[in-house]
Amino acid sequence: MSKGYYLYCIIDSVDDASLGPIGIEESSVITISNNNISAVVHPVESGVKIENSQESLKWVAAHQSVVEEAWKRYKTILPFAFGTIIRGDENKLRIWMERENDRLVKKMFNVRDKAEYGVQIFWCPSRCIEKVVNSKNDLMELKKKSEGESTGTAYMYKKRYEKALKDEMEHKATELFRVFFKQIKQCVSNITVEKIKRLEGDKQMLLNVSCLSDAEQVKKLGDLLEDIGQCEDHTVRFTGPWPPYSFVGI
Amino acid sequence: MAPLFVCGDLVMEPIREREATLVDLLDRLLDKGLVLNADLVITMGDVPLIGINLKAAIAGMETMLQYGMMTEFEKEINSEQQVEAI
Repeated sequence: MSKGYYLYCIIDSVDDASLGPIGIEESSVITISNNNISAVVHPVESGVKIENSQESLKWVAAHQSVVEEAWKRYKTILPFAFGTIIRGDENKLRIWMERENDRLVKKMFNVRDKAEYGVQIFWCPSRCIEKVVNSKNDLMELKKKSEGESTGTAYMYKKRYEKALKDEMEHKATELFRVFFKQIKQCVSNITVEKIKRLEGDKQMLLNVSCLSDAEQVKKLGDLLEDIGQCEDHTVRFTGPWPPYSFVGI
Repeated sequence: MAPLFVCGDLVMEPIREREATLVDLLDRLLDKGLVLNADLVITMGDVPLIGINLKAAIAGMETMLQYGMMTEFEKEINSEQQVEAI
């Protein structure tokens, strides 16, 4: 008897099938059905221990590979986070699926015929400073004074200018986020905001979102992102399609 | 280095090249997806720690890949992962 099951995803089909030895460490991946859904799993016999980062990366790749295979085969899936193992036998898994059935079916309905896409928009603030300063009279004034007054006064104005410029750049970044977010939201079924990542150098991430879209919506999204990317002040990173990891949580 | 985006008929196409999207994949697999109640779960090592270590390793790996190192490992993973867009 196995001690548990490593969980890859839930599918909206009743299919007691074997997907072959495609799992982590070449484990045989099977499906276990209950009611109108099935879990894609491999049995776990003992404690699982990952030795090093390269090994764990292979495991992550294997997890993703199984999820992709299930996605290709069954079309609608709810992927589990990496490293999810349910304790107990097949019956325990079926009890969990029975208990969570309504919630899982509802989630399945929400992601049907859709995929997840990542959108990140960047800017280089230093390249936009001139435009920002030229669009604000008070900033232009402070800049002039910081350059033209006698040494002590110039220093004071320089500090005030730097503070005002910093505030204005932050305001500009927030405004751009709002505009882009609103535009993207209108193109997609669902959207989640991800953490902004710090980058090296002058480049800054303005927006980081995951979008749930069907085939039609993703064309609209691509069209919008093309327009945003055409502006010399912004660059766009558009990734996917991903299984809907960001849209199956609580 | 793979292009960050591909233009075609003025509609931006999403990318899935592993080299360019490994961090995106990890962000999803490690931090997202369905979760179970703690009482049902067997802890697999220390997944949050695995996540941190992996992300650190990837950051290092991306630098190494830029310098043409680790290409064999990259090929091996590529053949396993089979990331084909639907």
